[in-house]
Parts: sequence; C-alpha cells; structure tokens
Amino acid sequence: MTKAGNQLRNNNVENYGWHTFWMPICSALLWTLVLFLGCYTEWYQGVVATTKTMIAFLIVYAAFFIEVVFVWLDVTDVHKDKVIHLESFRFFGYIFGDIAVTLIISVLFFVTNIDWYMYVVILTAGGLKYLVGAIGPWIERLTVPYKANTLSVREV
Amino acid sequence: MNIFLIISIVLAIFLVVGFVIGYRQTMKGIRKTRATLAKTELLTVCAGSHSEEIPEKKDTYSIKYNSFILPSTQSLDTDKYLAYVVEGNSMQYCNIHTNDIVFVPKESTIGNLKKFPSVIVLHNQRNERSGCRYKLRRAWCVCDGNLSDEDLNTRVSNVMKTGEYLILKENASEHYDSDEAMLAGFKEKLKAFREQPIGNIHNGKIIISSTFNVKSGKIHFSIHSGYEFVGVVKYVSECKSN
Repeated sequence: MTKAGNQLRNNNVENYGWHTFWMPICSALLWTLVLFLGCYTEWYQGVVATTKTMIAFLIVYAAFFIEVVFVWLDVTDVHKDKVIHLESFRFFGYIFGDIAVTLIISVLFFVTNIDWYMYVVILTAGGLKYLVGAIGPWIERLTVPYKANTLSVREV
Repeated sequence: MNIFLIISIVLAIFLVVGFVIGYRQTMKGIRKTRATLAKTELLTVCAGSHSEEIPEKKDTYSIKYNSFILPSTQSLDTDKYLAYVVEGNSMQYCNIHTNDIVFVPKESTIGNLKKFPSVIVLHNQRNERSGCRYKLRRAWCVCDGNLSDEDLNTRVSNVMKTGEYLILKENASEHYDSDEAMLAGFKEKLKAFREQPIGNIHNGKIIISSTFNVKSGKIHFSIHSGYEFVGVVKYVSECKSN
C-alpha cells in the first residue's frame, strides 16, 4: 500500500473518499473557469492563441494527470468496494471525458477561427464535463453493486 | 508551427501515454481486487464426517460479491441469512453435497422447526476445541426434554412409520437397517446423550434427527439438545467446483 493510500484509509474514508467526489468536480470547475478566462481574454485581445490560454491548457492537463493519479490510488490501494463502481462512470466518464473534451477544445482553438458561438460550444463542453464529474458518483451509488458470479439457489 | 502548437502536441503525447499507463494499472488493480473479492472463507457445517478433522472455515464463493438467484429469478437477500459451506456428503439424499452453500434464516428459534423432516444446522457444543463447530442433520421431530427414554424410543418408532420416512427408506433401502436395528442404534445414542451434561437438561427441547454415515454406508438416528439448534436450512446453492 502506498503512503497516500494508507493516509486516506487512516482518515476513516469510508466507501467514497472525499477525493473521488471533489477531485473530479474541482477539476471540472477548473476546466470551466480556465476556459471562460481563456475565451474572455481572447475576445478582449482579439487573438486566437495567447500566453494566458497556453497556461490555461497547462493547468487543464495538470488537472487531468492529478485525476488519473487519484483514480489509480483508488483502485489499487484505498477501498476495495470502490473498484466495483470504477468501471462504470468514473473511469470512462472522467478520463475519456477529459480526453474527449481536451481534443475537442484543442481542435476548436487551433483549427477554427473562433467566433462567439464557439465559445458557447466550449463552455457547454466544460459544463458537460462538470456534470459528468458531479453527477457520475451519485449515479454510481444508485447502480447495482458489483457481483462476480451468478449462482443458482434452490429451496430445500 | 508556433510554440503553442508544439507544446500542445508534446502534452497530448504525454496525455495519451499517461492514459495508457493509467488504464493498464487500473485494469490490473481491478482484476487483482476482483479475484480477491469473489472468494472468501465461510464457516463449515459438517455433514457426516468427523468434525475435528474438518477446518472451522473453508474457501468458497463470497456471499457479498456473488449473486444468488432464486428459481423465481429474484436475488436472494443474503443479509437475512447465515451461510455455511457444507463439508461431507451425509445429506446427499436431501440433494445437499460437499462444497454447497446452505442458507439459514438469521435469529431462528426451535419454534420455527415445525415441518418434518427438515434439514437443520446444529451448533456442536460438544466440540468447542477445534475444527468445524456446526453440523447438518435431517430433523424428524422435536420432543420435550422431560420425556422419559421410553417415550423417546416410542417417538422414534412413530417416525419410522411416517410416510416420508418410508419413501426415503424405499429409495435408499441399502442404507437402512431394519427398524429394530435402527431403534437399537438410537437407544445407544440416547444413552450416550444422557451421559453428556447437555443431555440432562430437562426443561428444554430434544431434537431427533437422522444422518448418513458415509464410512459405514448406513443411515442412523441421532439426538441433540434444542440448545444446539441454529436454524432450518431454507436454501442451498450448489457449488460443486470451488
């Protein structure tokens, strides 16, 4: 077990650790904020790629890597029960969501001449990312727990 | 190509590599943890074999992380049941075999034992030292503890006249002795039971049951105190290959 895993367990983190909720949500909020600032700056300066936007992307990438690390810690060390839920929403929702949104935004920034409606698209993407991050774990709680095998039972 | 684009491409490469590493590590962790989750140790319940030779617990399917489906396709609410893994084949004529998992409703009382014959779990209080502490029996009747030995013998004789007993005897005649021999065997068991401290408690109940001795190949009656009663086996899951 890693030091971080031990620390989380010692903090009596039960089935869902704080990081499994708040890391994706904070990451998503960061996305939205960064995108908004990036878009606002670009609109103000009238250029597509600015230093601020570049920094914004660096932060987004960093947030993604932090998320990967936390998800990985979850799976390997912290709570066995959580493994049950990972395959459904968290893993594919967060990580694939991150990649998809990153790629979409990258394409929009680099390839197109950004117009006002593009900002709406980008902000919507950020908002969707936030929704996945915020709602996903709650949906997971409603899903049926993981069962390894199905065994038949008969009455005696 | 501006610097921003180059940095973005490099970062994208890091992202993809990071994702692949993260994905592989995650899946490895999931597989490892699932393998642990699917199996667990359960208390054993002895079906005929010598309980001292049977371990107290045995590896089997996890009750929590496996689905147990009833014939009605509903899932069994395992939280309401005690589960034991069977060790031995003395209940083979009830279609319960070694490695099967039996489910007994929690908080059962001897008052729940109304239908006969019933497969029951008993807590073997005569074997607290080591090994398996539970045993599986087919209960035939419950008697008051203050009955005399003669009355108990009469009850056994009456059991041997019941339709259920006669059907079982017909289906496995090679394993049944004559009624006289069965009764004689019961009298020996009763004598041994009376010599036990628990056999002299007269204000309780006494359970008369039968079991199949795999070694001798014979079915015989046995007698237990009501204090040893754990519950009636309500469901069984056949888990032949662990």
